[in-house]
This record gives sequence, structure tokens and C-alpha cells, in this order.
Amino acid sequence: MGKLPFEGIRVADFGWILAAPLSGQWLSTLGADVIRIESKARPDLVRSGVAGGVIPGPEPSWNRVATFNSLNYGKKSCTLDLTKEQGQELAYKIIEKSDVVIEAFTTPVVERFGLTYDKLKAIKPDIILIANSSLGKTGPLKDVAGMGPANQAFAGLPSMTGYEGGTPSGMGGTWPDYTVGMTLAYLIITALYHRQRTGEGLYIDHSMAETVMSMIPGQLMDYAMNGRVAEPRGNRDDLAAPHNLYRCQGEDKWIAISVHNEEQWAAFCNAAGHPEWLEDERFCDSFSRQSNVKVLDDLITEWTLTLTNLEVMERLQAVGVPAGPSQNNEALINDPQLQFRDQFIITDHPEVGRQMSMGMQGVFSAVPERKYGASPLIGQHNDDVFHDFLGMSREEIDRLVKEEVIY
Amino acid sequence: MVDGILKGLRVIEWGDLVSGPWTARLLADMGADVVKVESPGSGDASRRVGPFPGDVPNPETSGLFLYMNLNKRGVTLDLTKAEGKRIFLELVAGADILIENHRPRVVEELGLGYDTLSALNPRLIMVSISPFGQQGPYRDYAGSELVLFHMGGPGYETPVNEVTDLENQPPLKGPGYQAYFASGWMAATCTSVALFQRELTGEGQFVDISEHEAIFSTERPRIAQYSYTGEIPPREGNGIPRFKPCKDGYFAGLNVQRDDIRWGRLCNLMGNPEWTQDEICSTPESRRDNTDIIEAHIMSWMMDYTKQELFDRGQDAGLGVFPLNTAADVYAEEQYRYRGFFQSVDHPVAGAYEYPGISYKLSEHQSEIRHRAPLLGEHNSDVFVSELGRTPEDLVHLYQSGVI
Repeated sequence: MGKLPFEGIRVADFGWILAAPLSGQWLSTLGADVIRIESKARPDLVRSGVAGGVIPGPEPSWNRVATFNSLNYGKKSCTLDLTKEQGQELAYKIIEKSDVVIEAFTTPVVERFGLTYDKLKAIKPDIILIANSSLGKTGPLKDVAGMGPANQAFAGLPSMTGYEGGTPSGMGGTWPDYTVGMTLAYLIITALYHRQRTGEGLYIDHSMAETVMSMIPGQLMDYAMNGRVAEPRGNRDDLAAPHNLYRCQGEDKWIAISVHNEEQWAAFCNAAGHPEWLEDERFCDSFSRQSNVKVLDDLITEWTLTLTNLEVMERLQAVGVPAGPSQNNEALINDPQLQFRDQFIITDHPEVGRQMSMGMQGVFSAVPERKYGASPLIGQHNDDVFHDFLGMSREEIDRLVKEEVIY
Repeated sequence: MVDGILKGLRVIEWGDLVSGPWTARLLADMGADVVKVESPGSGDASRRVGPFPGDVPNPETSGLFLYMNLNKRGVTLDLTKAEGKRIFLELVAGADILIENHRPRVVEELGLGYDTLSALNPRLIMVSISPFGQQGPYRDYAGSELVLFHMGGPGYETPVNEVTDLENQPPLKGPGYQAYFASGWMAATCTSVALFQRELTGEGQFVDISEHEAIFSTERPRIAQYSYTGEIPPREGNGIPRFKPCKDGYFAGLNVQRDDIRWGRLCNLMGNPEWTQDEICSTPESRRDNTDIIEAHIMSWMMDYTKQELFDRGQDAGLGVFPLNTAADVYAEEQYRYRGFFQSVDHPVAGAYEYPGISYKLSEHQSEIRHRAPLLGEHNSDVFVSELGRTPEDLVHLYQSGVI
């Protein structure tokens, strides 16, 4: 097949932590030349290894962090101290030759680093600048800082997450960063399409908390319509019963089962070897099953405890009932569907060697296979970027390294 | 404000519930002309989900439907009837994009696979969203939000920290439809990739999105972590909630800080009480090993302050901390008001309510709610008569024969 769609597109990626680098990775794996502009004075928090997955070795851990290395495939890394004017000037030279700029700083930092849209537009009139922040770059709280979990909170998500009747809980992983990474990728790529057709650049001001709220409309509309304030619902659902997690054979093994209509209910009872439940008036329709859901859940658990979660899944899926195991990372790696769809890739990295990590999603009929280069060491491409690309002499580069501008 | 950046694009959405409709919504918000195809009679499943104003169920007033389908037009077509399918093919022949989220077998059995459709319209971008994708051993498995969320991984890590009784505290689902929304964002991203590529090659393509993979993608670091160090995130926590109580609610981000800079800021914020001088507080490692003791101190300090006080002081101290808002709080929040996030939308049956809006601003270009959601079959005449050239009499016959 031919070329990857973003070959020839250059991205100056000032983004850090999780969401912004993931958006850059959508572009780098589809052919774009993505340059991370980092700083040893202020390294990406993820490089410090706070989130785990660090291969032991001499400090600092910057290049041996699993999380960083699965968010920056095939990017280059150069280092600049953007608090210095000369550092900013070099950044502008990169931006002048770029199509997209990604940043994820708070408003005061953006201003200090000189990465505002007005400034960048003067340097490159058709630049696409995406600014990712907790609460957006306008409004009374435009200056606040905050990461994923704090964003969740401000958006109200935890107030409706948790066990039924329990206190507010946090969603797993580093929610919402990885969903936001896709949001940013959507906005950037759509802007690239717009520029391709019109020649116009674009400034995109994205609020993470607003994206979180955009994904809980039922709960928010219930407040708008009925003044009802949503609370945690556990694994339950208003429309389906049974709809829960059930313990299975083995240590801490669970199966998720949801039954959405009478056809599935009949199939479920037969597959579970309990056709008599079909005759039981406590369970005769969805409404009755909701009313007697605790009794029903106990009966189902008696059955699921006799099987492994994969056995329950196979029996129920064979008759069209949604069922699947709760999976941790080890189970995910053994998931035959994810394996079949090439979700696990191997990269060869100069410091950590060959390691498995997650591939990218979305299967295209006319896009060639994605490129999965290793994630860069901090400053690995300083010579490529400043000498080969910007045409600076090695003497000048050495001087700027000594002055800790390239740092 | 000038038009949205996708104005001029024609999108046919044959979607249901959340993932397909959300993909099309994201394109509609940017100005694309989205025609949503529903089954005559019942329509989209989200019409039965609610919430309903005054708790009075009505397929035209379901809050989930009204939100998912803003900025779209709506038609009805029974695709199992020959004439319904014929009209659908006419729509697709004139479209840039088709978005659907039905099981692969259903689409094939109706004869609406990509091979058939691309023969009619080689520039067509067809985006198929399915529970597990178009190929592979689970291709025909049934999915649901619950099942996908747990199979994809994040359920195993939810709730964070709180699980102390593995037998009675199962892995937990996120609220609402987080897996389906993630799928919508992913499908929209891939749609734009295909649009960009079509400008280069002149050709459309088929895009295969798996909902299982979309929610799995939020577990990205866990795969490499397993490879690097064998780490499996423990489900059991220390029982300390991520969101701790304060004087008038809950608050986020006031946790033991591993790095010294933020730890110093936290100590300053608390007025450097004596216990912060203890040896257990001196290094990142000692703080990690004594988390429960330190967190107990932090929690008792927090109880003297309101959410607002902690927010103001915490942010001033340079900590990324936030109050935990409820559904009521977010509607009142000045920041969201200032950005115009909540927008009032009037609807002839449901009435006027403030809807959650659009999470980004584009320089000069529109990104806002322009139209309320369509009534069932509201634009049949617009689309079938004005655009496809059927006569008004045809429309009556189509209605009488159950096609629309």
C-alpha cells in the first residue's frame, strides 16, 4: 500500500503527562514527524515514573518508564529551556516549520513560554494550535492546574461513581486522560482536514472537565429536567436485570452479565441450567427482575461459582447473552480477540530493549500499517533537530548546551 | 462566527443508543449535515432510556436521545423492506460518510456491507462500530456497556484505592456509557483520518472500530508496565478514598505527595503542623510506606475547611486540587457558565432545558448547539421529497406500507 496519511506533516509537541502525548501518538503512528519539545529543567512528570512501570537503573529514570514509552512511539525528542528567551526563539524556529502545535500547560505558563495563538500565528499564519487544559483557557478559573482525577471531580463524575449507597469513588486508570487523548486527536485531525481544504489554520481551546461532562448526559439531563442529583449506582442499570458482576471459580475472578430483553432472559436461564427461573413470577419480566434483583443475583452467583469466568462467557455468548470477564492487564494480554487484532506490539528501545506495549486502535481498509518506532530518550534528537533540521552549527549548539538553553 | 469546519459534508447515521450517534454528533457539532436513520415505530433505543421530564415517559422526550442527537436531522426507514433499503442506498450514494453501530452479522444479512456500498459510491467512508470488531474469535459476541467496560480493563481498577473486601466489593463500572462514548471519540478520530486521506487519494474506505478496544485503549500504560516489570495493578487498596470528605462535601487531590516539591507545598498549605516534621514524612519512600498514617492526618485537617476554601487555598499553594462537584454543582459552576458550556435548547414536546454542550472552542468557527434533536421521522419530507425527488404521494405510500 501507499503512504501513511500524515507523511509530510510536522508536529511540535509541547504536550506532557498523558492526554496530549497520546494525541501526538495518533499522528506519529500515522506518519507525521512529531517532535517532543521537552526540558531537563522541567521533565515530563510521566518520565519521573510516578505512575510505576520503571525498569530499575541509575537515576534519573527518564528513559525507562513504561507509561512514557507507550505514549510517544516514533517521536523525536529535543530539549529546550523555555523559560529562557533563546529557548523560546529556537522553539519558534521549529514552529515556523510545523503544521501543528500541541500544548498542555496552564494559562500562566503558556504566556511565560510565549506559546499563545497570537504569537504563533504571527510566526506561521496557518498553524493549528491545540491547547489542552483542565478547565479551558477562558473564564475565571482559566489559570488553575489539575490532573485527570481532579478533573473528574470538578466535572462531577465521581459523585455518580461507586457502590450503590456508597461514597463517591474514582474511576480506574488515569481517567479521563486516555479518552481526552482521543478527543484531542479528533480535534487536531479534523483541523488538518479543514486546512487541507481551505488553507486556514485554527486555534482549539479544549477543556478536559467539559469533555468529561459531555459523557454523562443522562445524569446531567436528569438534573436539568427533574432536579435529581445523580448518585453512585454500582454495576446496576435502570433498564436491564440481571446486570451485575458475579463471582466465579478461582481467586477474585468475576464475570459481567447483562440481560436486556426477554429473549436474552430465556436464553440465559436455559444456558444456566435453570429453566425453572422462567416460570418464577419474581423474575417473569424485566420489572419483576429489577424488584427482586438481590435474590436473583444470589441465585446467579451460586451458578457462576461452579465455573470459570471464561466458561460462563462461552456458554452465555453461545446463546447471544452479553457476558465477559472482568480483566486486569494480565488477562487483557491473554485476550484472544485483542491478540487477533494486533493490540500488542513490540518496540525495540535503546535503553529498555524489546518490550511489549499497546498498539493503536481503529482498522482502516486503505491506510497502510501504522509505524511503531521506539519512544525517544530525553533529548535524543537534539542534533537531528538543531543541526540537521534547523541548520545550526555544532559550535552554536555546544554553546547553547553549555548555557543550558538546550537542556 | 463563520460556519463549522465540516460544513458541506453529508453524513448518514444509521446508529443506535450511544456509540454511533455520538460519532455522528461530533461531526454534526463541527457543521456536517447529519441525517439520522431510525426504524419506523420504535426509533433509536435511547428514546426509551430517559431521563424524562417529570418522569413521564415519552419517546420524544428522553434526555439521552435529545442530547445524543442535537444538530442532526432525522428520517425513518425500515431497512428490512425492499423499498426502505432502496432509499437507504440512494442516501448512501450521495453521502461522504456512513456511520453505523450494528453487529457485523446484521449488516451483512441486510446486504449493506462495505463492498456493496462502495460500488455505489467509491468516495464513501463507511465507519462500522461493533462490540468486538469485524474480525476475530469474538466478532459475533454480544456486547453491552457493562460487559465491555469490564472486559476492557478499567472496571478492574475501579473504585480506586477503596477495595478492602475482595469478595464483597466487585470490580465496578463507570457511570452511564463511558465505553460507548470512548468508542464514539475513537470512531470520529478515525473518520477524520479517512477524510484527510480521501483528499490525498480521492478514495473512500472502510473503518472498523471495536468498542472493546476503545475502552481497552484507556488502559494503555498497563500493558507496557506488565512487560517492563510484571506489575499487575492490585485491586485491593488501602481503603483511603480518592475523594476525601471535608466540611461540606468531598474534595480531590489532597493526597500524600511522592515528589518533594508538591509535598512541601502541601505542608505549607496545612500550616506546617508538627507531624509533618516526623521522620515518616521525610522522603518519597517513607511517605509511601506510611501513607495511611499521613492520609489520616490530612483528612482530619480537611474537615475544618469547606470545598471552596480548600480549592482557593490549594490552588494558591500551587497544587492541582479541585472540589468534588455534584450534578447540581456543575450547573451552578461559574467557570462553565462563563464558557457557555450549558446551552438552553427548546423542544416542541420536551420543553426547554439546559443541555451539556461542547467541550472546545475553535477560533472564528462555530462549535455550538444549533438545532434540537429531531422528532421521529421529522425530516422525511425534507430528505425524501426535497432531496431525493420522491413525490408527496410517494411519501404517503411509504408511510402506509410501513417503510417510513
